[in-house]
Amino acid sequence: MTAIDETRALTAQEQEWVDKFMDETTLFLGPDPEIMRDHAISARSDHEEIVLAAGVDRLQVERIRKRIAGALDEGYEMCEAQGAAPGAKWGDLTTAIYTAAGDVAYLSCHGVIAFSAILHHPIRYIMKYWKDEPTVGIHEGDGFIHNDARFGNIHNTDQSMIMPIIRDGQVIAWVAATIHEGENGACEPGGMPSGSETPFDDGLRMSPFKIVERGHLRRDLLTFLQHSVRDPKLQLADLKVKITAVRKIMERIDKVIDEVGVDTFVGALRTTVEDVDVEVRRRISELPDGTYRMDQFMDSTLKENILIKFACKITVKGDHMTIDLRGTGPEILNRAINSPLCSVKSMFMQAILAFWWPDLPRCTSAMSCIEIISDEGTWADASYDAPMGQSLQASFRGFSAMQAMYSRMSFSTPHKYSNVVANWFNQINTFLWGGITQHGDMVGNLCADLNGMPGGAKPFKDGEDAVSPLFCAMADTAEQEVMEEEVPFMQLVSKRLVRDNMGFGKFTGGMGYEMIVAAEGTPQWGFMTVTSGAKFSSIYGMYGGYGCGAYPLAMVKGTNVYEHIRRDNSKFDLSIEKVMNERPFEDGKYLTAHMGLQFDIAKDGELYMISQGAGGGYGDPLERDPVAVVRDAELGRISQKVAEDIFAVVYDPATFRLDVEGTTAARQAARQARLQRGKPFEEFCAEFVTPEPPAELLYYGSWGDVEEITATEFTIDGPKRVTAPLKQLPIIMVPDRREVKIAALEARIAELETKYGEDVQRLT
Amino acid sequence: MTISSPSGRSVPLVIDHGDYGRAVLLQGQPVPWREVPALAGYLRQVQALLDPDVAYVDVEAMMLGGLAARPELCAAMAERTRTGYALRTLLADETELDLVRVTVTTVGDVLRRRVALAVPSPVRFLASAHEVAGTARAEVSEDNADSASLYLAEWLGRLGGCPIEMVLLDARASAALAGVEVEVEERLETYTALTNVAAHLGWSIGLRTSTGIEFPPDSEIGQVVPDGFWDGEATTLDSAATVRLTHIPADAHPESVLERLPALG
Amino acid sequence: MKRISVDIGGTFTDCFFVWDEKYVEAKALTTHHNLALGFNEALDLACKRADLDRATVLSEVDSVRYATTLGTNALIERKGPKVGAIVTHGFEDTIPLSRGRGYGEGLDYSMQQNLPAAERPEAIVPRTLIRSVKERMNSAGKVVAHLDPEDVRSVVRELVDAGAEALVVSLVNATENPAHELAIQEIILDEFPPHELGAIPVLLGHQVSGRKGEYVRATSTIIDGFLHEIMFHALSQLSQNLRDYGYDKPMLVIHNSGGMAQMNSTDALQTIHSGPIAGVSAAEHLSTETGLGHVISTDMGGTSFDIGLVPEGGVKHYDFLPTIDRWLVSVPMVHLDTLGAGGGSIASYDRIHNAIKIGPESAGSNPGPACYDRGGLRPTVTDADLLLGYLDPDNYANGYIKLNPKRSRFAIEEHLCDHLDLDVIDVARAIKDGVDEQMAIGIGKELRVRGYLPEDFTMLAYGGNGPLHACGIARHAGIKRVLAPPYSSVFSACGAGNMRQLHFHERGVHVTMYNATTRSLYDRYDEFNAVVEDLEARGREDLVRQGFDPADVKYRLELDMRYGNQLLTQAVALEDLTRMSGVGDVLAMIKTFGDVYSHRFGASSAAPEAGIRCNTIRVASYVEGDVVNFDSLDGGGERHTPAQVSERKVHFIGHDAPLLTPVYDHHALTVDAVIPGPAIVTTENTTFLVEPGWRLEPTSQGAVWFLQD
Repeated sequence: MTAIDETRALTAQEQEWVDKFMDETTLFLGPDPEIMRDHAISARSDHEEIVLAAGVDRLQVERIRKRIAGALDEGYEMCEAQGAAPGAKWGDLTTAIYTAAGDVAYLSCHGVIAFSAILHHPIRYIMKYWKDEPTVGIHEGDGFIHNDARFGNIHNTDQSMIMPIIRDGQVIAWVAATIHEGENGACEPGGMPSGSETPFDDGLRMSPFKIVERGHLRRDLLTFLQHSVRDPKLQLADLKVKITAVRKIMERIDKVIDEVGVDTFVGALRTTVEDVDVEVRRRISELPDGTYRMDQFMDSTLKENILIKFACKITVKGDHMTIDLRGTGPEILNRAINSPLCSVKSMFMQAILAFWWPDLPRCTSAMSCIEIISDEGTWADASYDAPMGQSLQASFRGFSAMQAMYSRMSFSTPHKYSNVVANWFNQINTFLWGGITQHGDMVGNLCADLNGMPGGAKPFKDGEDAVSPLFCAMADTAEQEVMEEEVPFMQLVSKRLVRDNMGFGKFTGGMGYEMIVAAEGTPQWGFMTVTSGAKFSSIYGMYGGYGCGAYPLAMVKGTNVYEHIRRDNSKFDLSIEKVMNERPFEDGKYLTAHMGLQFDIAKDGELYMISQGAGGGYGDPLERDPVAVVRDAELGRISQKVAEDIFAVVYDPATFRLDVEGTTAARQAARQARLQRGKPFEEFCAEFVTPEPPAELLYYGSWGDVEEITATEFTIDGPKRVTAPLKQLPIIMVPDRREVKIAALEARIAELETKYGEDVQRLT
Repeated sequence: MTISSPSGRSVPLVIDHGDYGRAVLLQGQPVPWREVPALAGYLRQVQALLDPDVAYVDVEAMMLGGLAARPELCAAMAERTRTGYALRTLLADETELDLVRVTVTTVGDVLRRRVALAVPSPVRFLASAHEVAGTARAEVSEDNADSASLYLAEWLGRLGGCPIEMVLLDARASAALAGVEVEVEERLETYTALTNVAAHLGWSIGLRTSTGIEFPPDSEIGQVVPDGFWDGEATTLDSAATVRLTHIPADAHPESVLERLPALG
Repeated sequence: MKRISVDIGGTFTDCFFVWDEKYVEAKALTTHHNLALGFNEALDLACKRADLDRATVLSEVDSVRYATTLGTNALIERKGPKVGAIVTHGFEDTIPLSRGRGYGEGLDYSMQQNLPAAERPEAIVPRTLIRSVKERMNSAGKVVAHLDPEDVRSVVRELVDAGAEALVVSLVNATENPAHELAIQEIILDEFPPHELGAIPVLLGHQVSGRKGEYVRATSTIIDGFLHEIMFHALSQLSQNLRDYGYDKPMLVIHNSGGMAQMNSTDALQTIHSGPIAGVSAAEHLSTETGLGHVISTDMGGTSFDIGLVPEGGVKHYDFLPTIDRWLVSVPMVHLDTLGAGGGSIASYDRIHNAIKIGPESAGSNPGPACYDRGGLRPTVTDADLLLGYLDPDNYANGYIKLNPKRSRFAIEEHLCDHLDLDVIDVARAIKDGVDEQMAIGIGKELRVRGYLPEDFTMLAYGGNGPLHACGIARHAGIKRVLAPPYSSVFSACGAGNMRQLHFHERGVHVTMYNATTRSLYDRYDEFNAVVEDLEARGREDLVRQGFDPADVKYRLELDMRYGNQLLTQAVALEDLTRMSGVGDVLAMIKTFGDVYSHRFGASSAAPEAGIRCNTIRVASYVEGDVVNFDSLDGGGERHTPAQVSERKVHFIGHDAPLLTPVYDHHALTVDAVIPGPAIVTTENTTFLVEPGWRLEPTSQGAVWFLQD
């Protein structure tokens, strides 16, 4: 804020003095809202304007594109092969080429679209602030590193290497490689801390800076980075890999430029970007006009149980599309679930390029013309001071809203670019881990099982069980044997589908599997989980299909299960259902909790158990082919109870023979019951809709279609519900849950002391 | 290609049994061409009674006869009036193709016989499709016939994995052709796409005309056994024939049919 | 040397026949119902050409070698027994769920990216035939949960009752300690002795693959079990046929590892892709014999373009986790990169960019290109080639297929011309040039990711469409020399004639050559050597069983090494080193690895600071044998231009007007000929297209050079 009296206009001379003073006294350059709030492709540069005016040869542009694609894939393969991060091994990375202004013109065939989709932010930042900065500058052979989500990233665990292509002293394009590195020195190992309470807990905060100077990796900065993370080997190795890969790509591109000339090359990149922009507008205009709405909710802060809204409304009018996020809950300033808007946008981009229009060339303009309305200060559009370790919580919900809404928007369009699919599972149900390995190495990372997200049901087929992460096609999952060689824990149950764990429907959503892990033979080890949905799932069904169930984290602490199993092989009969119901390890302590487990020290043989969720179902379960229901029952995919209660199918549980008449009768009865339960919509609303959320619920977001946001503020007098426009809401911070618990216990002690007349003197 | 003769006859016999079967086996009910299990049951009866060497599947009856149940397809076929559009749309329809595919595969499995697929010739198919679509033609040119043969060839190619023994193109006059001026006389040699696709897939292919049945040079020699044969009319069997085709009329006497059948042994 | 080598492919059965100094090539159509018929026909043709009769030949030849795609086809067509699987408790769904890429392995890029369409392939082992037993080993092979024989018995009984006709046992960490797998096998044999129910084949995971990875090992074992019967049956049919005509020696089967073995020492899995790999092997041998240097072999057919990499010295590149059909497996296979581009690739209009897209869809052989006139309505690369004047419509594929240019023209006009506002020939040119460039990019990528430069390579071009597109591909790739190799029409069979008996055995290990945390070098030499000795002993047994003298067996030690925690493990062949006896050996191994790695990725990318690991030890055991002699490929002497048989107008890339181009037949391919471009040479099996700026120089044994002027 400047304290200049704005009532009096400054003279030109005065303005210059003020500007100079301000410039010299800038504390530091934070993210630039002008860059960060904009996701449209840049206007044509003068150079591009001239080149395009001269006309481009379409067939030649196609050939240039092919060669660029080949080069990017080459770079991608190198990163994947050489990368040390588990993420690199599963394909959680990407390479791309950008125009001088930072628009993605082309992405590698494989990998994470979202990485590149928002890298124009840091590139524009570099161009705006470092290009003409005498202490920095951009030269041939330079390379910039970046990971801070505030400057344009999904989350801080991904690191990019960005290098300019320079001709005649001008930047004409950029090449970058991004890898999900995992460990980044955050307050918990693995790079995605659910326990972070300030932005400083989120680990490395690299604004874009130059780490490669005219071809040389700067050892001083490298040392600083290695020093700041738990796994210095990883930091080094992958930095080298990214540099090598980007250079390889640039070699190929140099060759193309030498052959076709700078102008043609620049024209080819720009043409590609513009072609896609035109196509996207055309595809939007194919969609029926209207407003579509899909709200998502998160049921936890990853520490406390709350309900926070992700509001999403799409309006289509002609070739114009608007996405309105107003009504979304406020940011919570000491919890990790907040996301910068760019991270949410990157997942919109993922939905568009992977699920709406998988055939569309992968470039920035896929979303350029779509207007996004959002107010800063929500958990989906968090401000600079909010921690963002688990930004995925908001951004994945953005993905799900977009995925589901397209299925509706495109329902009646004659031409389909992809299958309609009910919601894909959207949580990374996996174990993050860290500690000292059996080989004496300090490590921190996670199990690739997060890539086993179940798919949603289609209108004609069941969803695929645990198939692919929503954010990356062809991402791999690990082989457990290979993992066990490196880390001191076993998956005692590695992959087993959990009965009844599916979105029921005419076609059922894909199922998820359970994992049971226990550490052994390590001086220090711990696990964490970082997901929500243990109380209220964010995976909904479609057109009468059911959503995913809600699954807790379960643990058996205080006993070494390995000892039990070694003694008695019959104890090696593990499933969450069995262990928690039958409690076979006498001395164990059996616990369940929501799935936001902060880093928890695991003693040898203590069990940690989770399950993947499920994809959403499609259509009315009463319309499911009874033969398919019985087959599912026979395979143990569903219980008899579910077959009867949900699908109204009757069969003989001994022979799995379908009772045709019994089923017809049961379905008839189920339909009758529905008719009896049914009531006119008005009547239903009158009974069901309340003016505000239940009093005991910590609710954040608009309640109904209103501008005001409802929130619970923790005041000196305890929690207090407030309703106000976002800008007028107080800062929302949640008290430490342990202190809340202590306060409650102290109150109880005081109450008992009073009751029994004890007078205890305490030191304070 | 040599047509197999699982019945043990010296010359394999193909029987067009639709009319007779309807009258004798189905008590006047139509042949259930579009209901695969019922059709297989019917063909099993035919096999038990007449033991033809291949299972005769009538695509014309199956597809064109059943289009009443597919009003949306009929509407799509009528969307443009240009010559050939109706046929092209019909042959591009996945549901219809799947029906044929499933039928042929099931029949092959159930009967353990390969299938003779009776298909309208390009011109006849073209005219029939237009008639169903309600966009009837006044004339059919050589080019129209050629295009139709391409669509049909593509369609046949997509039946590649099915247990088909032979394709019989029916070029005889039909109701749909009444009043249509056809510029071209249909000859197998002009339908190279059809003969090529059949050769590629190892199927025999013949063109049935009002006068007989034509096969490509250096392949089968076909003889059409006339309807009258089943009523005892004297018929000379061509000893050079490598395959015989016959249609049993609806009014043939079952006793007479069974009596005459061994003569084709 | 008297030898018959055969490659049975989908369309043709190729035969390469060596009778002392006489080398003969012959071809016949493959007879799918009984492979022996096509085999005999090809052999008869070869005998006729050599003026011999089949009985004499078969009673006198020293070996019959055989490469086939039979296994690949059986897998695609799902012809095989019902396989049941026994796995470790907690891993019941590991096989059906596959790995994250399971839905997309073996598919083209656009299908891999289309998540809403993602579907896994139909399982080979249905979930109903998978059972777990309560047992568990840890990663060091120590028992965590003991095996209970009663548990095993009931599980086996259930599987057999459910209809399993073969059983696969694949337990976690069995490569470290196979005790439980072996115990289960014993129980099964005990429970179902062959004389009772008929033997149920039992395959153990650790015997099929020695590498870690519970999913890939299980899949490999399953595919092996699935193909076992059909392979055995077909091979027996062939070998019976050979015996009937007097051949009484064992038949040799080509392996995808680049070696071969007798039928009884062959796993079905090892035969997959053995035909194309025999071609790569021929390229390797040719390069060694004639001093060609670095060679990239390319086989362009109707639907695919296979690229094999043979750097000088014959160090081969292997895939250790190749994809077969839609399945990821664990078997060391000679690296072969297959692009989905060939004569049948469909050219379509790309509306978004107003351009032409070629592939990945293919017209395949059914319906084939539009010009095949089998109802193919969409334009393909072959249609473009035909319209440009490269192909003779009446003499294509040995006259088996007559081409119809009218259809090509119609298809291109209908699908592309109006959209692009270009005439038919311009579009055809763009298709031809586009596909050439696409393949050149594939070659370039293939080489560069392994640290090579295309300009240092000679390209071998074979396969039906290879010599036709060779100049174009080479021009785009920056390659100056292309060789249509000797015996190119039966090149894979020719490669089979050169292979040696070879077996790979490998074992997953956790050897930290250099520990970055403790800064120490590996020093458990005895442990390391014991593993090597064991692997050598297994290889020796294989060869001795096939009648070789143990003294003739040679070994090559290979290590899969990596830096830190990289995914990439680089195979390092140690030429002279087979044992570890001191720190010098460890450092030598580290150095070899560093050299290979730096060559591949550039010196700056090596990261020894992060630690150096070896996670697989592999031993190749082999015996040397006689090989086919290739003549020198140096032309030498004066060359002259032969007489053309005709001429026609042909369209070339970079030339707006058609050029009147001389056409030659096979008579022109004499060792003293030189044919300057533009020119077309049509032989029985292929068409050589000599583009302007290139010349064609035939050499002996039917090899032909394409050289840039």
